[in-house]
Amino acid sequence: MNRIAETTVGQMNIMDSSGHSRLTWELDRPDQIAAAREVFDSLIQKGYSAFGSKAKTDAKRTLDTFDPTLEELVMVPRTVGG
Amino acid sequence: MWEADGRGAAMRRWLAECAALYGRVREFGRNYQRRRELLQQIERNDELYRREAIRRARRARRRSLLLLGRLLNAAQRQEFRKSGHFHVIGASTGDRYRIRTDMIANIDVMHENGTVKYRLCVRPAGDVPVYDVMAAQLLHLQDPTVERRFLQHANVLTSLPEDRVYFRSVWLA
Repeated sequence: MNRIAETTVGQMNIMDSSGHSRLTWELDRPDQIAAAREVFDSLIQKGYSAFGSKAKTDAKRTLDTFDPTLEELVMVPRTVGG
Repeated sequence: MWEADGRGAAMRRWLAECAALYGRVREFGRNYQRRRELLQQIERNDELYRREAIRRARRARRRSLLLLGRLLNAAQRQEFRKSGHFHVIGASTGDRYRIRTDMIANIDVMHENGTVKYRLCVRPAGDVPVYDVMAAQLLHLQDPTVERRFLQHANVLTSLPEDRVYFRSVWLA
């Protein structure tokens, strides 16, 4: 049976009032990767924290720089005390 | 005869005043009707906006619940389905946290015996749905490099009696 061994699509989930908005990129599309990197950097500048993992089911770890090979990123708005 | 004694002129004036008054009353009626229709239109728009806002909020909750579901491990997911909360072990402190379905002060820091030491109030900024709040707390607490930094932002509150802790299944909500 044919199985796709590795995904070539990454996705970034950005938390917002709609639940989250999603940005995806394909590994063989440098333009999409550049756009995702730009969004990533702008969100980090706004104080967002980034968490990512190689596979969607893995536990997420914090990131400082954009890595397009990660399958899933979650961008969390800056933290405030309640 | 009336013309002769001036009553005819008075009658004409009176009739003219009546006609003017009638015109003003009709104008008032038309204005009143226009304003009433405008008010009804505003009320209809308000109702549509309110319904749309409710729909948007429900959609947002569903989307954030999907994201949270993906971030939980199997045991946490099962616990969350059953009781509306889940436990996380702090990656650098080793502390045991219970994250409840709530927007405010929803992190319980637990004793070894399962009772609550105190509560924490810390969340992502902005208007994000409750399950995104919980997902953000989970991500920070289970990461060894950011857990302590996350805790530094938290306000510490006294624990609630267990019977005031709000348990519910999100799948039945």
